[in-house]
Amino acid sequence: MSRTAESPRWLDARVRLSRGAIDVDVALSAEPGQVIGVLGPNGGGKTTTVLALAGVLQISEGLIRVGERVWDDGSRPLAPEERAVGLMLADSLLFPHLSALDNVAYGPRSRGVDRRRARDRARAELDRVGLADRARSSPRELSSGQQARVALARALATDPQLLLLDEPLAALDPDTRARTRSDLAGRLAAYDGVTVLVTHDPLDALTLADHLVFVEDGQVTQAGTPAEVLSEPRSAYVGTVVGLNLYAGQGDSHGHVRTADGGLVVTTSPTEGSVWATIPPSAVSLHLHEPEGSPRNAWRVRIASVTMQGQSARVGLVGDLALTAEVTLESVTALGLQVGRDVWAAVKATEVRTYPR
Amino acid sequence: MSLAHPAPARRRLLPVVVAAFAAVLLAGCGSAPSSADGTGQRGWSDASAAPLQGTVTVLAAASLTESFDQLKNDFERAHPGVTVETSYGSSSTLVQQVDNGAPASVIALAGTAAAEPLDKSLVKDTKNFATNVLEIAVPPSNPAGITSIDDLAKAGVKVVVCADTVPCGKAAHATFTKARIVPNVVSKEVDVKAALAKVKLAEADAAIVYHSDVVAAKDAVTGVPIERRYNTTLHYPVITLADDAASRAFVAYLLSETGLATVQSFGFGAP
Amino acid sequence: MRYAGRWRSRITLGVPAAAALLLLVVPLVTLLLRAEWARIPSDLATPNVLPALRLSLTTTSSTAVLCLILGTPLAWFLARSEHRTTGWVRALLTVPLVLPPVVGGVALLMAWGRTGLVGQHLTPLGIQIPFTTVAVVLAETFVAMPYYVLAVEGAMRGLDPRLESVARTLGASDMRYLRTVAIPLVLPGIASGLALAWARALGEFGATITFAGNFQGRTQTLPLLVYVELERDPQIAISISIMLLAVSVLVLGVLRGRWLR
Repeated sequence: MSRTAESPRWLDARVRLSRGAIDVDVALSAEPGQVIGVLGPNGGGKTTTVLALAGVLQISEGLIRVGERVWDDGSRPLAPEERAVGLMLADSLLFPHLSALDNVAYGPRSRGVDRRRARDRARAELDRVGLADRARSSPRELSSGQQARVALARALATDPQLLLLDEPLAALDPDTRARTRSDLAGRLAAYDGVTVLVTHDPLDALTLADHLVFVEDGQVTQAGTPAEVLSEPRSAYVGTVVGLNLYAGQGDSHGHVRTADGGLVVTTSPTEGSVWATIPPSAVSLHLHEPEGSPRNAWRVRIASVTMQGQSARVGLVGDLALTAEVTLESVTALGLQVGRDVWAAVKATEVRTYPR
Repeated sequence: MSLAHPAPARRRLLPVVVAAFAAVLLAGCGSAPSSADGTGQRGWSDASAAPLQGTVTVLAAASLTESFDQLKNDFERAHPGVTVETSYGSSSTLVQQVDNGAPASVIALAGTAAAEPLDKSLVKDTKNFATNVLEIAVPPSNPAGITSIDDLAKAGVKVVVCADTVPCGKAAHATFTKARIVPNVVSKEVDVKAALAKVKLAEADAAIVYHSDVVAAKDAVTGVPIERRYNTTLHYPVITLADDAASRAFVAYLLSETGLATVQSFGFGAP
Repeated sequence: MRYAGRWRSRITLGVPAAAALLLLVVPLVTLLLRAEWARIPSDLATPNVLPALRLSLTTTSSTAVLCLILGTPLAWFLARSEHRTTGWVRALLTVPLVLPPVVGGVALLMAWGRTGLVGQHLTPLGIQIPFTTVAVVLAETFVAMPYYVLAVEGAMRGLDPRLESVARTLGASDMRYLRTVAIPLVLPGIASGLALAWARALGEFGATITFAGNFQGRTQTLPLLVYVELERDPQIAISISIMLLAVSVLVLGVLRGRWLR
């Protein structure tokens, strides 16, 4: 991620440390009110970054600065309790021996607020996540969705400048997840600090975050607004996340792109030099015989996998070019698409986008 | 998903196992020898005619430990076919073990009184073979400066005696009564050797033990005699429980001039 | 799971299994059969027994308190430490579990005795530990502490370390986390550790008689009294043994019902 040096951002972090087999080097910056979505494969350094921001881990190099205050510069880290930070994790991790109210009041109490005012604050926070009536409940009496909302209320009850959400919805079942996601979006809209949301669910990232950072193998591979990332993925992982066939290749002025694997893709929007080329799966049509007429791209491929997704099917193809096609269920039956079958895949040159690598 | 926190390690089991194993080995070093073998004792009515064979199991008062170890060696050398197995403890414990069916050919006790609880139906023969008197054992440095029995009553002197249930404890109690003193007894040990050990370790300032124990302890303790008028003389009986030739031969050897001399060389008096 | 047939395995395994059970059960049942139940109340009220009973209760309670205030922090460090030496510290802790108690008594004498490594420096100060009730508590703590520390450490290890991360970001210092989250959550482990340690202390014999000696009202605890009474009046020894057996069964029953699975 590129940063301009002239105006320091409100959150300015460069997290560098080694943990286990990976060397993490992740830069994040944001202004108050922003939600940064951090995505990436498991074990890629997302959680390590969050723990370093929280103060659970210390960075070996770099800087973590929030507002005017330096939290860690690689030598004198502030302890977690000295940072204005809120942390929420996948399993909610409520204190099982405390009521919902006391869970939320725990932060203010730990920071020296007296019992009555801490409870008042906790009640207000529970109210904001719609759980005012469950204040007396113990965590095990709450549903998983309610537990997640209490955990969010607890993380926000200390007025953190930085809110860290590590896979906050991962432990929920799909229905609860959708509802809790919208609760979370509502609550985050009213929060004026910076939120760092770690997730591997693109839907979480696209609905909740206004800036995305992809971390793979400890490095940032792409950063930008959701719109930028959706249209121009810049790594295989990002391509998968946004659901596009993505190829690194060499383009020429005639619209030919030679992919790294030796495949040939033709486009009507040529870019010269090192390029990324994308093909939407929905633009891929499958044929039993070599197609005639308009499509400029046609590859001989073999079906490697077929998976259902609602009313359509995703067909994994290998051959002249490895790609994924999205076809209707009717065509699956009509063409008799089975794993192992040899077919032709065709894409119009107008559907292929290229942009510099 | 889960934070990358350190997982609780399971490797830590190894040192635990190693340590436990080492401790078990240590414990094993102190295990008791194998039990007595009571076979091969019958049918030797004429002891002088044929070489003796068999096993003689001897239970003896703790104060007899050193002298009976010597007797055992001498007797076994004279009679290669015989194995003498010895077990030492407080007289009262030994008597109780015999009453509860412990296999024993011969039992030697500190004091005739100790023999009273013994099941009389088991007794084949009783003879006294030694006497012993009480003595004060003090550490060689004698930290409490004890020179007579009266010194035991001085404030702060830590005295260890045998438990009231064993002969040396009973005798010590009688001695204190005769001397009209009330010493500061800090512990009543289960037998005379345990009482002596506390002095050897210098944990106690004095212990009431037998003269023979002081002799046996050599340089580890110093003896302070107790005047005859306060002292108690114990007569040591040897009781034959088994009827076999080897057992009778062992008792005969003990009562012979050589045997008595051996016992007396360890600080015991003549019977 | 039950399968039909398999008589051979039932016999080849059943016979030694039954023998093992008998080895354990017969002595205990015999003890119950040999007891003169009507005598037990009066036996336990004899002038010999009451001081031993009182001493056993006070020393075992002191041991439990020592375990609580010294053992809990040790368990805490063991549970959190990732250092290599932790494994060896833990191994060291288990040694008293399997060490013959009398060896423990000798070791205690070597350390705390009048001429011992530590004791020789205490003597000039007028402090002498052997033959005192303090020695009984030391001996009992020596054998009982490992039970407590290992039980509590296990419970603490069961805590999700992320709870601490959350508590810390909420502003809790590590002491506050310990007090408000860790301790309340491991209370069952602390309670079962205390019960185990207490029961072990109550039964302690070898280290006590070696290190603390045997004196009524000062160092003669119930097990020592059982040993001595066996030679004077075996029936009293049996009565006390029955009481100790009952207490052990009670402790185990409480542990099984509440905390052990």
